[in-house]
Amino acid sequence: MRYHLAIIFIGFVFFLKAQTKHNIHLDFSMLYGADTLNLKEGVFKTNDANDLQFQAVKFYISNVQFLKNKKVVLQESNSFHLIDASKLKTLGITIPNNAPVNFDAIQFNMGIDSLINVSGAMEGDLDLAKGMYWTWQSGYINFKLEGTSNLCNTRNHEFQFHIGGYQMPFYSMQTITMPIKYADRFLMLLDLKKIMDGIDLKNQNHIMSPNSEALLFSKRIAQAFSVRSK
Amino acid sequence: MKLKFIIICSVCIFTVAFRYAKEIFFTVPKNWPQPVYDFSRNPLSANKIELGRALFYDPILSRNNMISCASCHSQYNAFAHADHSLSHGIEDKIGTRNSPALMNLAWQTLFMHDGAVNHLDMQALAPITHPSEMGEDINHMIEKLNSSTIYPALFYKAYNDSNINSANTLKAISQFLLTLVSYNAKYDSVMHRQASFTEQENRGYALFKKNCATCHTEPLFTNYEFVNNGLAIDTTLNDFGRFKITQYHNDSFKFKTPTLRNIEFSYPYMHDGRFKNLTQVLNHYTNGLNHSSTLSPKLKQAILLSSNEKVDIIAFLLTLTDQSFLFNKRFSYPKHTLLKAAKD
Repeated sequence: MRYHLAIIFIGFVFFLKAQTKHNIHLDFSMLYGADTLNLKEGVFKTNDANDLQFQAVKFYISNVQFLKNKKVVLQESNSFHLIDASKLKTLGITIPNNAPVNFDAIQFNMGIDSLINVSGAMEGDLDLAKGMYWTWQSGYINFKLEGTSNLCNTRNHEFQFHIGGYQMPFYSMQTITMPIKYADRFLMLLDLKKIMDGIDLKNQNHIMSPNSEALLFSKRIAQAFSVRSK
Repeated sequence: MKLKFIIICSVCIFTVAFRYAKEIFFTVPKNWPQPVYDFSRNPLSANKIELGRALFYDPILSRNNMISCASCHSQYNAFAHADHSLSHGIEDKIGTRNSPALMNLAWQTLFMHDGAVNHLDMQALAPITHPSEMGEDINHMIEKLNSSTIYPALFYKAYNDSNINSANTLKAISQFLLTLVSYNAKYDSVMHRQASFTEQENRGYALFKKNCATCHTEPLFTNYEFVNNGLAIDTTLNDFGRFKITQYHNDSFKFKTPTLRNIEFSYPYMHDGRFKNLTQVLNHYTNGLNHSSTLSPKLKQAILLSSNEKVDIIAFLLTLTDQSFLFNKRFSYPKHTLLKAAKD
């Protein structure tokens, strides 16, 4: 009798295990070189000689996909995420992988695609009240980086980079593909130093509309992403 | 007995039929192209249209609760602003462009004189947030709506959800704007053979087709293209038009071709309201063109019109006036929702 119960119990455990959902977690973290950015206090001071400080880092991650041999094997549905460095709960994305499938690369868009940009009012992370939408000219802001540096000869030494544009030739959404080994937790890193090193803050301290500068900037953002399995 | 039964049955059938018959809020007028607005993403309903109408007429959308959409888009001016060459916003601030007439918006892809806005749902955002127009912050506006005495109930009626956000607010405004279809002018009756032009109107129509209709194409009386129609630059505004949006030098001084429907009432004319009447407009096309490098090729050959011919064209243009649009009670100030709220 006990023997039977044990079998039923073991069977039940296996059943539960089979039912356990396989999820993939992406945890976003912003860096400045070797330092992790922390915007909890509203401002982050870097060790940069020109007193470089960051006050806002916000960007869209969309259309998250996993690839195997360059073919899409898993993709998140309704995949639009506003990542805000000052809001902890926006830094994690969970994607169900119920099958589960194996993969060797991750692919996502930094920004919002042109179709969504011309499709009217949206809700959730795409709600224009989130401050990532231009009001005077239609279009999402894909990436927002704001702060101060002594190099900026502007009011309060401020710099503001609002990177957007959904039409050619200034389509600033960037598709990023990175090889990964199968895991269920990844650390997605964005190194702001890689972006800032390419900018001459003395001469360039704001971008606020779709243009060639914004396009170049978006390419730098794409280069600043990296991934680590946890 | 049998008769009684038949009567009861028919009454029942009619009641059910009326209850489930889909109310029609939008029809494509005869011989018109299909609209470009995607109604499947924002299906029209009586309560949503009514909500949008209340929002359109309510100054709550502006920072100081003084200016509504209707302040610069009044029905009797075909939803333009008479006698103001440039838009007039909160605290008597003056904008940089003439407020355009609003009608037949479901057929329009790009909005604003320079096409800055790419979707009807997003249009209201521009004047609401512009510091010289309604000057409001979108989040503050949503807060005000959420704490108002009437809007949570109106949103609940419209969406089965009293929670107000930017998407359902903008979509409701679109719903009302989509119903502003003008298709009942004398011109339309003539086209449907229910009326006929006078001799003068006929002459004007022929001249119109020869000289104006390649840009102001029937039946919408615009092809919605962006063109430089030869206006000399106003150096107090230095408005480069579509260039600001596309950054293409070829787009310098180009502005959207407006519809001519209800043109009698949507004065003053042009993106900066520089012409007060239609005679001035026609004089511009015959004698006033500024030949810059981006001037429309269609205007490179001179338009020749005698003063009598201009009078004829204007007589034709007046047949584009649609009284049933200008005085349609469904488009006017919603007393039953807004005045009642003000009393409560």
